Amino acid sequence: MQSGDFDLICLGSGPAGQKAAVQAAKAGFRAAIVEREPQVGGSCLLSGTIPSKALREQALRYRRMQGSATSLAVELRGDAPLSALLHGVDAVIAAQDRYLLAQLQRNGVELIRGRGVFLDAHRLEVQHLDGTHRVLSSPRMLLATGSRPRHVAAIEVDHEHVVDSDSILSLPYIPRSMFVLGSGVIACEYASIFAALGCAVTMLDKAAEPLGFLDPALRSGFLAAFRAMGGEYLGGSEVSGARFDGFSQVEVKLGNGKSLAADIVFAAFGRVANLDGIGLDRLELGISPRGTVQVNERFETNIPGIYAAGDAIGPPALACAAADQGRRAALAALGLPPPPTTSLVPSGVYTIPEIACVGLSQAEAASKHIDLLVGRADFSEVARAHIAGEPSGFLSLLCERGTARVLGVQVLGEGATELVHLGQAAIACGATADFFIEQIFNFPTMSEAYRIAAFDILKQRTMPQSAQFKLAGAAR
Amino acid sequence: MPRVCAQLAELTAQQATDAAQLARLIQSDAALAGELMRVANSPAMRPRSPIVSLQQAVSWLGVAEVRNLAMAVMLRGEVFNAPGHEPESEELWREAWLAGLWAKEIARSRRKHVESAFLAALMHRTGAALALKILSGFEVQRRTVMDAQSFADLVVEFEPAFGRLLMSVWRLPADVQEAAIGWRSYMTSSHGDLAGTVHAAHLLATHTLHPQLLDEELVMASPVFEQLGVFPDDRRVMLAKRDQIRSLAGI
Repeated sequence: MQSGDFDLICLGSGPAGQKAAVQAAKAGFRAAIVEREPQVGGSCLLSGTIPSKALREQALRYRRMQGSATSLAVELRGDAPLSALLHGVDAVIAAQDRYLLAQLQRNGVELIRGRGVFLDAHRLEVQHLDGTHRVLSSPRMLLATGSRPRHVAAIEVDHEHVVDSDSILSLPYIPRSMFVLGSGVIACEYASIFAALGCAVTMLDKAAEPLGFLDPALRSGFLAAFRAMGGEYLGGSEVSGARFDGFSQVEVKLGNGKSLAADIVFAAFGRVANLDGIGLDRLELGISPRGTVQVNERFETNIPGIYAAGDAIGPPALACAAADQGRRAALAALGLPPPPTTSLVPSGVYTIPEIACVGLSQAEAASKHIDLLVGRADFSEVARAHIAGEPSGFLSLLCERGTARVLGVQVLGEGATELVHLGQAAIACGATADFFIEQIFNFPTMSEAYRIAAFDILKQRTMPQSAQFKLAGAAR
Repeated sequence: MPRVCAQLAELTAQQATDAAQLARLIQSDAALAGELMRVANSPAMRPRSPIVSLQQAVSWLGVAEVRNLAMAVMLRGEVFNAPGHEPESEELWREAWLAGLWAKEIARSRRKHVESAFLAALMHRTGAALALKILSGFEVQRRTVMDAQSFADLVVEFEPAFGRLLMSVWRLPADVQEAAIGWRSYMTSSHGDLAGTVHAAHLLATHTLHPQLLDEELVMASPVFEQLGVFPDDRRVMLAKRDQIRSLAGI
């Protein structure tokens, strides 16, 4: 393969590009990252994962303080500027930016700031912010350009009355009412955050329930918690348009002819790969009907030497998955052996309450005809949950009926995204439910939920089969 | 904050409001009413037919725009108004108003919500305007006229303190206050992104007012756009909106 200025050039410095470049540099190759934004980290750090989680933490604090305010005879102001709630986020971003820059520097990765445009498969023109240009060449390129909010023709996002997941974070105040269009992860995360902050949130989507990819117990658990915070979900709603009424409200038109009005509309139609303006039209790159880059199992596109990873290739569009894909893509591109593959990618939904899953879902088990036992621990039985003031939620342990081998874990409740990792380790080690019974855990901790769920599995295993069927019927 | 403005803020922020309520309130302030009618009829707002009543103007412009205009008119009347120094006050006012409108454009192009950007840019010369007003009052009281250089030096010296005082009394959000005061040193501001937006909006406003002093190439070459991540071709797209902004500002 011909040589160039670098052995690998990564377009984008989000989790995929950054980890790919560091992996290449650690293996002794010349790696560079081309980044168009002033800071490194991609939308994960600048406008997505990190800022939204910081806002979520503030919403949780606000909710807890509301709970304490009555007993402390304190009155909370409900009109706090959103910027006050995001206080400290800039510092978090700056700290991460410094850390990432230091990591790139330490590993000898060259960071080139500018907008990269492909001239051909192995040459990239970088347009710098000062107007100058530079051409870089490499036999291997990695597209790690990430994603941005998806917009649809019927809903014009003006970043004033109709916002997306970028501009929602710079709203000056918490609106009195908000429509959330969509029912996916981002829609549910922001809907629950703003509901917790006292905004009257209504979610509108054609799906009967939000978070359709989750098992029913998680979906209904989220919906019950959302409604308890004053939120509303209007399933079966086809939205045909949204328009500022020119006065104070945004009017949302529904397919059935009805219209509803709120202060702000949050358009959450998922995300779309950032592939515009980077010269892909010159390459005839394989693009899927959903607008993502098509890759093989080695993350290589239809053009030899061009690889892609992260949100640019579509689902699962998780930061943790993108980082792993980036590393694997770099190894594949450089002809190095990949690490053993794992299908165990946990998914975390940062709603209020949090949701996390790993391994097999009940729906997947059914489709594969795997006979499952589901052990459940309600957080109301967990002492630590009461101490933390978060006694609602549950953990489900999904085990194979015959062997009690743990195949999946699902958690709904505060700390779910951390708690799920213990289950992930058990699945990876091939542990059975008995593992959680035999081990001694700290007390009081949320991990106790695993023991409770494991005892529930044990009870079902020792129960006569006729009673088990009755129990399963009751659960449905 | 003057009564009408305070009531407007209350009415637009905390309760369901209708155009008639707002129009009744605005009627009591001739300057605000006149400005509303002017803006509502401006080519930039593209009214379908001439707007002849206040209620019609309020309905056409919307609550957010009315609130912004009220703030602007209030600032112009109360703060950007230094007896004996009217031309300087007027100049500061035009800078502030244009910067507010430019800040909205910048924010929108960067997929940020526009309201904080508008407010911070609108407020970015209030410290100077208030210093000008207080110093001119001092001149009137003492029946003296300071030499131009000393006067200008004092305005510069008091600008940050007066700006901070005014905005904290009005309880503006902390990021807006910081950006409106620290826009010159946006690189070290604790709200660097918003402060950079105000800085860029200030440059665009100055260019709109005085293209011979600050030409397009100088604006294009400003490092603030690099800080904000706005590429040269995007800056040109932004600058092409100059006439639209000028028309909206009535300048």
